[in-house]
Amino acid sequence: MNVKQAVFQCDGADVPADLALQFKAAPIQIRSEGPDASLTLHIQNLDTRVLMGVNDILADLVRIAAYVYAADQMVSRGGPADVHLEAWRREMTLCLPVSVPEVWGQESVRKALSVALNFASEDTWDFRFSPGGTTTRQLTFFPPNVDRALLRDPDAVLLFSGGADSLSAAVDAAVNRGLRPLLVSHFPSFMTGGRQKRLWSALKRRSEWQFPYLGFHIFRRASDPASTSQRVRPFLYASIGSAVAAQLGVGRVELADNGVVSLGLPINGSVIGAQTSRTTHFKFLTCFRALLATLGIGPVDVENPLRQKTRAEALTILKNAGCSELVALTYSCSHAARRPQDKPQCGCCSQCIDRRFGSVAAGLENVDPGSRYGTDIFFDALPEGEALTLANSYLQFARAVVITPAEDLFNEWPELYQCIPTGPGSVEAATEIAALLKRQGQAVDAVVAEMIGRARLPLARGEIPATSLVRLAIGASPQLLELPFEGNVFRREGEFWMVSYEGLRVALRSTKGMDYLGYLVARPGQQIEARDLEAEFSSQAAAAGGRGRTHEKARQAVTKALNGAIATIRLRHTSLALADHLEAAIHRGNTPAYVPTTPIDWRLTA
Amino acid sequence: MIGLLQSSPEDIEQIASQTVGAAERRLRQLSDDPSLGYALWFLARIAWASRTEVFVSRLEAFGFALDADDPALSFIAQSSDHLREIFSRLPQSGPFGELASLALRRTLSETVGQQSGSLFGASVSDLQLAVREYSTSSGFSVMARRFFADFMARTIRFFVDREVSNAAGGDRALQGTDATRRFDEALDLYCRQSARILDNFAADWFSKRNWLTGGEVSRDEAQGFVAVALRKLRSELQPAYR
Repeated sequence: MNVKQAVFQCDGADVPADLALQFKAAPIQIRSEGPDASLTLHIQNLDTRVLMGVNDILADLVRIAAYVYAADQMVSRGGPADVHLEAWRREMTLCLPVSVPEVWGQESVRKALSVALNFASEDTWDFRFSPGGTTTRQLTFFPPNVDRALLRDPDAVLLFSGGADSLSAAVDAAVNRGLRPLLVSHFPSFMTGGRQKRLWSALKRRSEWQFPYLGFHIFRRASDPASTSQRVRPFLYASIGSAVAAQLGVGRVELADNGVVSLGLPINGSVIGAQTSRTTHFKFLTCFRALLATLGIGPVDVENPLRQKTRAEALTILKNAGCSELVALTYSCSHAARRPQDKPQCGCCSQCIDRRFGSVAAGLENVDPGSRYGTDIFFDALPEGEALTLANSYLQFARAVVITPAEDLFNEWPELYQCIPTGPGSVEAATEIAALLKRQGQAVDAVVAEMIGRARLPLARGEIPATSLVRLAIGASPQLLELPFEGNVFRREGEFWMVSYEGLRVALRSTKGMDYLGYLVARPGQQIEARDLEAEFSSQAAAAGGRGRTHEKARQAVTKALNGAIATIRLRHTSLALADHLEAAIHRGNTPAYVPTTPIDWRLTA
Repeated sequence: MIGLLQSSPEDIEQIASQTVGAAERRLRQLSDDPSLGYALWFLARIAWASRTEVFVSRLEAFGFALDADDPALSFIAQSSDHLREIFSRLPQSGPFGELASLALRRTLSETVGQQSGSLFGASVSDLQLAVREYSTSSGFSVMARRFFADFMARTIRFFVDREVSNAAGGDRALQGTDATRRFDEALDLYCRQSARILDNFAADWFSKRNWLTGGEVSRDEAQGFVAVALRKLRSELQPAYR
């Protein structure tokens, strides 16, 4: 394969004679100033609008990342037609000005820089540095003699994309881990950023910590990009986050993706290496930390705080913090810029598919319903091409993960060896990864089962398209549609309650409210004191002889739990009749009971 | 192959074998791929080194930093890093460098897991013992077979997976996710069976090369092995799709 080679001259930097001889063509120009400027590099402090000078090395790091970001877009990688990746890899040489060339020119620094970018992008990057990083407009982003108190004394920097994962990380940092994160966003144009800012405003209203916020407008101007893969974006994000953190003396930078996405596993055999984004990949973060250490920046720890969480578990952070409604303001879709407001997610890209499954698994469909997706992957026909490939591959991957023994996961996906340390801690990390993947597979399985259950009647009537995800999951196994008719079911199976009513079935995760409902439904007409009902499901209360609370507190707690469970059933079981029935039949109060006006023959056991 | 997948449902195993045949042309182009040659060379050198008392020292020569008690996982992870560094200087391999690296990792991983009983619990010493079981002529032929079978399966899936999903659903060849999974399993099985054609050649090669070089098989010799191996694999594939 012929590898495309490109040489860039950034802001008039010296081009060494050996390069000029080797590459006959004139270098590609990147300018950040002047009438021919093609690169915008502007930092906006969204909080105080006061700016100041920055440490030279840190300013250089941000500039280098900006030049790399621009260069990446200026050389084609073959485009969508190059399905066999014959033009994917490039050799990129940047001649650029820096304030401290004696540092950047060291072999160890150049190598660390190249290694990090090579892993993120699979391109070969080389750099030739020359003096001249100072421009007429200083790179500035903090007030003079910066006082951390002006920014409310943050102790962490968090890259904030406006997606669900970075929102979960922000809430987790402030609510659960007691951190005071400063948010940093990259804006690829002056027109973008509205969504992040709306989300930021909503977040501040729900939080005691007011999340100071910096925006970095870094983008190319003039021509359309020759490459849109943007695999160097992780380097840009990590650079701007680390520069801010180091300037403030903050020791922690967080780039957040849920753990499964972070692993960067290929969804099928046609996807190889850096075709899957490596924004928070363990190996990339390791290489980037090594670069910072080589430069003497820090100590700054660059981590992914969600690396041990599935998408559903990350979303559950928001639910547990009482911030569920903020999910509706997040954007996961890779085509978000072109989406209508009422359907901000396309539903078919890999991010949308993962989000849809995660929302269902986390019980957040009330704030992220299928109606907000352009295509509901479960029940709509998926168009041929990428959408069908992604949906089928997503299911296949989850199924494979479930049936593969934990240790064999590293045989099936040897890509995982890049996700563990090469020294101490490799076994612990491998064990965590195996457990994460198992939880992901099981969650996907449970969601699929639930969706098949919801669609049982439409499926039997032939109303669900053959290329919907539900039909793909059923495949050539129509016996799944011919489940023996069990009548009305209210039965616990492991961590789930299987509830079937009027032919429609739903699997609901066990909660206190569902457990109370199940207990009452199994004993129609029998009253039980609220405190005793609590004690049935609480070892603590039982140990206290079932009298751990006052009557009133128990009544309130049990009533709240029962109401919550019925509300969940109203949301999840598509026939409202069940929720209406329970609403009428479940008597709350000091002695709750299930008293149906018309007896229902419930199957309570398998 | 695409036409087969778009047709009415057929026997999945037959579709898989026809798909495998369609990859013959690409395998011909890979005969002189330097990344594939390096991966095979690395495997041969590790196999021979496992027979010595200085296995860890031999690994240090590759730039590995390991003790005998370190987890085997660490060795395979370092192998991944090592190959990535080497292959970064061989961009002409394109995606096939990554496929060769994955096939090597899987070969080592399966070998250790099967021999020691627990991949996660194995140490570098256990890895040496495991690989040593495959450091005879017949043993190396098994490892080489695994390596090439996996590489071939990955290569084929690199080309066809994009189309396989378009053949899923409704009245098409693959009626759902389960059928897609069976297609992949059939493909893997076919590749493993086809790779058996390498057994005698790999055993002879390993024995002769190491006897002549004292265990210092060269990269050129490994590249020569790759060329012959791929020719044999292609000859095995051709009858499948005629």
